[in-house]
Amino acid sequence: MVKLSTSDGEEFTVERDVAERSVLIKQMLEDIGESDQAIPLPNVSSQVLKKVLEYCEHHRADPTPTVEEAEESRKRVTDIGEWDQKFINVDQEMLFEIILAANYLDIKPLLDVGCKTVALMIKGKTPDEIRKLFNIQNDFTPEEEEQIKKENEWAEDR
Amino acid sequence: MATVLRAAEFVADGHNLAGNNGRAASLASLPTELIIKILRLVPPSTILSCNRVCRSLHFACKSISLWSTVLDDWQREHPVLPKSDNSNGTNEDKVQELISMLITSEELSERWNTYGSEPQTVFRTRAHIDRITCMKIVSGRCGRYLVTGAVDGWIRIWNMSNPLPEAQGSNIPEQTSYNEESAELRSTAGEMPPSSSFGSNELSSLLTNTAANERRKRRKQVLLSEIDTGGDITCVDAELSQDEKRLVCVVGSYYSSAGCLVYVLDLDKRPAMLDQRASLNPREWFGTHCVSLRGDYITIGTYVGFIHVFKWTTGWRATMETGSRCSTASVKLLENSVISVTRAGSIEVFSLPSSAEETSELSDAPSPRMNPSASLLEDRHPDPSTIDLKEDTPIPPGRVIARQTPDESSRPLLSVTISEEPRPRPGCTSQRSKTADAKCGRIILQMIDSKTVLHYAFQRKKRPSSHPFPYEWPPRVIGRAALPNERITGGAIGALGKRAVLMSNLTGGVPPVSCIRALTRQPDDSGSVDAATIAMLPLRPIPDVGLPALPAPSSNIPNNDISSSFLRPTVPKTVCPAGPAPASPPRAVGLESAAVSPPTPPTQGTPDRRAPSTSSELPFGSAAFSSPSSSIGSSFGVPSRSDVLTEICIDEAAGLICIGTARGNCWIADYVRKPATATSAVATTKTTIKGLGMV
Repeated sequence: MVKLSTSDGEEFTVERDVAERSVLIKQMLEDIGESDQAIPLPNVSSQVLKKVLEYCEHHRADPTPTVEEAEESRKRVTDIGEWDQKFINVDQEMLFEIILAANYLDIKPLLDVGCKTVALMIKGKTPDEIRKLFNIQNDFTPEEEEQIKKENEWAEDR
Repeated sequence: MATVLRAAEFVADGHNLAGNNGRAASLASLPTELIIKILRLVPPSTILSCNRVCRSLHFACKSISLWSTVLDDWQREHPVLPKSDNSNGTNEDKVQELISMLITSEELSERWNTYGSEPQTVFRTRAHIDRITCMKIVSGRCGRYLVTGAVDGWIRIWNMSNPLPEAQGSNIPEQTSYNEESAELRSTAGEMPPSSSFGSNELSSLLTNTAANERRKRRKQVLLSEIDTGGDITCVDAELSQDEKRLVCVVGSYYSSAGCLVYVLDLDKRPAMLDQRASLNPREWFGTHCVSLRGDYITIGTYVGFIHVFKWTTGWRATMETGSRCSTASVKLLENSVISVTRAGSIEVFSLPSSAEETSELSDAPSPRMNPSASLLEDRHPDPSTIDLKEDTPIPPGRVIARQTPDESSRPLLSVTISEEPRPRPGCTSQRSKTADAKCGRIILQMIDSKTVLHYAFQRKKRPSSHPFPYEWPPRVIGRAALPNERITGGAIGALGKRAVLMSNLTGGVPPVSCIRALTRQPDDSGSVDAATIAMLPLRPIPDVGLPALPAPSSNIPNNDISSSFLRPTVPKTVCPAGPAPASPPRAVGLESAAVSPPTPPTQGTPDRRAPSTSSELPFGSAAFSSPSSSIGSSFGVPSRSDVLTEICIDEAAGLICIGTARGNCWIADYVRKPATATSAVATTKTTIKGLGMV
């Protein structure tokens, strides 16, 4: 069993093979060995870790994909498993938190699921639609915007 | 920047789940590396959209590594036209170049995945006075050329390097008769003086001349070189030299006394002259059916099951026998082997005879003797026939190394095209795409019979091999499609093996209604044992082809993968999704102006002519494929009563489809570039009309 503590001070106890889905934790365990001390995860909140552990639990028995397979599956954008699709069906903030946590904890398949989900959301959208969708402020000055528009036009016109 | 981010947080409703430095996570606040990871999964045009969303996304979109990895991924499924190597440009220039390549490719893919899609430019010319029997597009980094050969014995080289001229400059109807155009054709070929007076009265004669002049001018802009080979022509292959200064062209003939003729065109010289360099004769020869050129070597396939190999620069020759005494549909010369496919459908691989092996070893060293562009092509033979082929050279037997015989039930093949995927040059691809390399350098074989299309792939062996044929055997079927209710008449696959075209007769009978389809394999041809289906989408590269009814949305087109979204046909709103295409398709007027002039101005003297559908508008009557005419009103467009499509070829990266007909018509449809500006032509025409008015 491995203990993990989150940014908001909550402690989670999970089985080792579940925790080792995270390459970060796996390496930590290899370095320091098992101990009663909780591994601090200062970049992950309890809510997010709970979600991430849910993923790890479900995928605990997955074989490690070869480099080639990982590369292949990374490119298949909508190739998200059924369970994963349901799992990732969360609000936007949680989605990005999961992406950040997966990146920090180094859980490649989860990171891929997150990135693919976002990619599907933005695919084929206009800048305005993307801003609206993700609540992003347009922080360009009018001059910059004009400049970028010109650059894009150039690329589109060839 | 910081203030903006705070503002975004504020808008994001305060729910701060993260311990992530107290910031709400959002797309814009992700680290750049993660943004790039996401952007790599979307199509290039979406990346450009993201570029304009906000600063942090804009910053990620400027990354050269993003664009180069996107290119790596993208070109695995989509043909991309390479730009000239610009290795000393700034990173910013390189990014712009990558963007331009990718966006062009994406736009082209979208066009070719749109039902009934029409090209940006259509160029039509009467290329030959007889049936066009072979066409070959040769593409280099800077130039693109079309070689056409016909029963009339002429080889013509058309320059497609620049945007093609379109016939819009003229408001004058092209009231040309078939004969006149033939005469005109002969005149350009230098056999006959131009025949000029065909009009029934002075005015129409003048107008006709202007139109004819226009046409001649356009033709001249595109026709680069021509030569009469003296026999009929059955097949042609052509290749650019490494430096792209010369075009080597091999011509096969059925009746001529030579097995094949080799011509070299010096592209820098004007006038560009096709110079005959060799006339190669096999020992026993009964007509050349197909030909393949690779550097100094040539392979020809014959009607009786012999494959002949030549080194055209020296005259060395060898003969190999196929298993069946059946005519060879296609040959492809590889580095150390030859693939041949017979009409009956058997695929055979030969090792190149020993002399060729020796020389291929030699050619690794930069010996000037072995490099035609360096030396041999320079030494112009005073007389092409000085290459003495009569002398008996030893004929080392090429060996059959593999053979696959067809099923009993298979139909004879109509068309076989073989393409070789380019292999990435060493050092040119990023580390990451190493796994992708395994899929590169495949040989794709398209076999077409009257009902089905089959794509085979020869997978390159994973480990470097000294075997003359370093591919997996047997070839794997990677795509198949069937058209049970139509009669397929021909087709071709692009040089990259990623996209193909198919010609069919919609009615299956007489009169034929031609249809042209773009073929795209499903992107996922890796995992499954079963062959992927081939998406077949009707296009309108030329105005006068029929469009079959669009099939109901098919469930076997998977709704996954980024690239498959480009496979799903996009139906333009103007086209009714089900049922036959409208007789007069959208944008047809603009398109047809390539072949048909727009409605006439009142000065015409032909007031009773109706809208752009009368056949008299076509350059030589309704001869060619006639435009959709209300009087006939077939739902497919109009049956082509007097002309038939015979040949088709495609340059999938450049977006070109070239079509040849039984009456020597040649069409070039460009799906990327807009027509060359015809301002000068318009000006001349206007002056002429004004002048006439004064008369």
